[in-house]
Amino acid sequence: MSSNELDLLLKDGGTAMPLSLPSIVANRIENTLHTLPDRRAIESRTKRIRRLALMAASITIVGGTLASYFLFSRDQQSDIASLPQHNRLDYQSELIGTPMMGSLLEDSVVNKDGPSVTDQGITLMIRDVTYDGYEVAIRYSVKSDKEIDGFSMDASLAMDTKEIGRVGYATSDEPGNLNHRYEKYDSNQYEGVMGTWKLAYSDYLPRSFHLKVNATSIGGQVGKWALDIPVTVTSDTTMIRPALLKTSKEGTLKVNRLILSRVSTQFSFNFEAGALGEQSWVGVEVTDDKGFHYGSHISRSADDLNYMDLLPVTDQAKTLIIRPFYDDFRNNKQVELEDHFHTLLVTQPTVEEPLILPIGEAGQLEITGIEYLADKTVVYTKQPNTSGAGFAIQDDKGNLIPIITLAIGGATEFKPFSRDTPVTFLTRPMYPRTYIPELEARIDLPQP
Amino acid sequence: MSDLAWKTDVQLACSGDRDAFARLIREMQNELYGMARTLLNKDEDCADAIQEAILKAYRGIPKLREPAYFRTWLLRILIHECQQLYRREKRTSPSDKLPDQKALSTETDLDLQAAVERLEEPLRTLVKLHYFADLPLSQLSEMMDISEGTLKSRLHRARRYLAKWLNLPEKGEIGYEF
Repeated sequence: MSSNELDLLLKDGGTAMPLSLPSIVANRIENTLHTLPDRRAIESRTKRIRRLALMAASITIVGGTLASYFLFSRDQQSDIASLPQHNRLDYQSELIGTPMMGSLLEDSVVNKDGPSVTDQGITLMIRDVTYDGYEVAIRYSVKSDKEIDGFSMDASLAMDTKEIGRVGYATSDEPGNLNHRYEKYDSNQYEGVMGTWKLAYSDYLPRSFHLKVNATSIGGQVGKWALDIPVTVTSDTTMIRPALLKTSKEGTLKVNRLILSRVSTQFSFNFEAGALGEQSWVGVEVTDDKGFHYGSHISRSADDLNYMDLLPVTDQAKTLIIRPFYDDFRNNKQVELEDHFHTLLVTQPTVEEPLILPIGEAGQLEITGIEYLADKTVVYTKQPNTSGAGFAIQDDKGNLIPIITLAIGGATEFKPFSRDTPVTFLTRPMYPRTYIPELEARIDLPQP
Repeated sequence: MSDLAWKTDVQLACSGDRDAFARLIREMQNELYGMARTLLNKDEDCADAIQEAILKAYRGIPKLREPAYFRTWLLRILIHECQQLYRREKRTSPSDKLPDQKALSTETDLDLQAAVERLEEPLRTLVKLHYFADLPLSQLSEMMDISEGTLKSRLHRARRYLAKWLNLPEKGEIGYEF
């Protein structure tokens, strides 16, 4: 067959096109055109959406100068019965139920070897890389020929030539930090995991890429540890298409699709706000039946609420709970540093005698403990935190203490400061959220 | 819509007139759908891609330096959205798994289409738009912002893959003709 004959075959090979515009397309075009925002609102909304993208992964950075502003897990005791199950499970991963959030030392990957590099007597080994097409998680280990007192790492990660984040001490106006946690295996070995949490919002999500790891400091030792690892998107994901539509006078929630993997949860939905939404911001929160908070997404307009990139589901979770809410518009106004509540740390907080942080009409936050370690200071917050509020810490010179890693399960890690350092907790005034129980949706997760 | 009315609406849309922008979209809606349907397999996906393209175009239209290129510019955005959506769907849906080579035959159009689906980007989009949507290379060159020479070479490469996968005997290399 000649090239010309193949040309002819191709020209006749297209799918027959429908004669008229299908109603689903026509309606969508009309709906889109009817909801186009006023141009003056676009610029401010674009900035807002960018910030909300961060919030969807459980953290947002407020105001550029204020430090972290975390969302915490919530306890769910709803009277709403589980919805009739019309879930369609398109396919199921073998690995769901093996989350990245369990103990690293009990992870079977701990015995898996991978590419490694040694410098200054310290070996960095990448044991495993998982990429689900949206987020990346890297399991690694560090072994040293001598004891490592404290542990910290300064490293950057890149997909091909595009930097995707850093681990180390990050300030609030450098939001490129990755999820990062580690556990001591013995005196000279650590197991760790680094993960992206907002990569899904990027425009560079290739099917395969070269992961470039460049560490410049490990355990306080300066050196050079560079690795280049080919990575391909895993097919090991689970897709659920729940046939869920909840309607009330307060709005409509339609759950379209969930994609679950070891490294992220991708959630597609539509939320149409009711009358209250005209005066409030609107939001959707995702938790599970154990109270774990996967993320919230808040926006001035429900039109922007259709997709969330969330943490992976935990292996204990049996049901995901989707809760739409209205958020007081004042919660989303920028608040100057001097207008925050300042609470001086006088005595060390405990579970029995927590440090109470005021957050205005929304209630209070409780700090239940502070752990002072060589390489980080961990601040624990009482769970569940039902306010959606967060906090920052200021040292005696008025500087905000940088965060090392994101809050998961109420533990927030900061750059180390000593027990003797006078620190002040900052919280912003918050107003209670109004949940819409009629629109709460529950999705049963496939169990192993 | 007359040519004058079209140009006026493009000017108005560029200066922020929402109604003018909507008129332009309605005028182009069949073309938008045709393009999306060529690149995607489901109407629902087409609706998603068109919606995203409309929103992106609305946000970006003040930056459109040459209003005369509104149509080409919008179609370029749509192509990009379709490619993104196709990639996402392919990553996540088992129904989109591509057929094994042994499953391909030369007998039916379905097999030809399956082979086209098997092409990597940017070859797949190019083949679909050029052959299935019957768009000339000159237009695609503008729309994709790629020289005609590069497009010809890509088409040549795509045809070689297709011929191989479809087990079509080659009678020698023939350059692109149009």
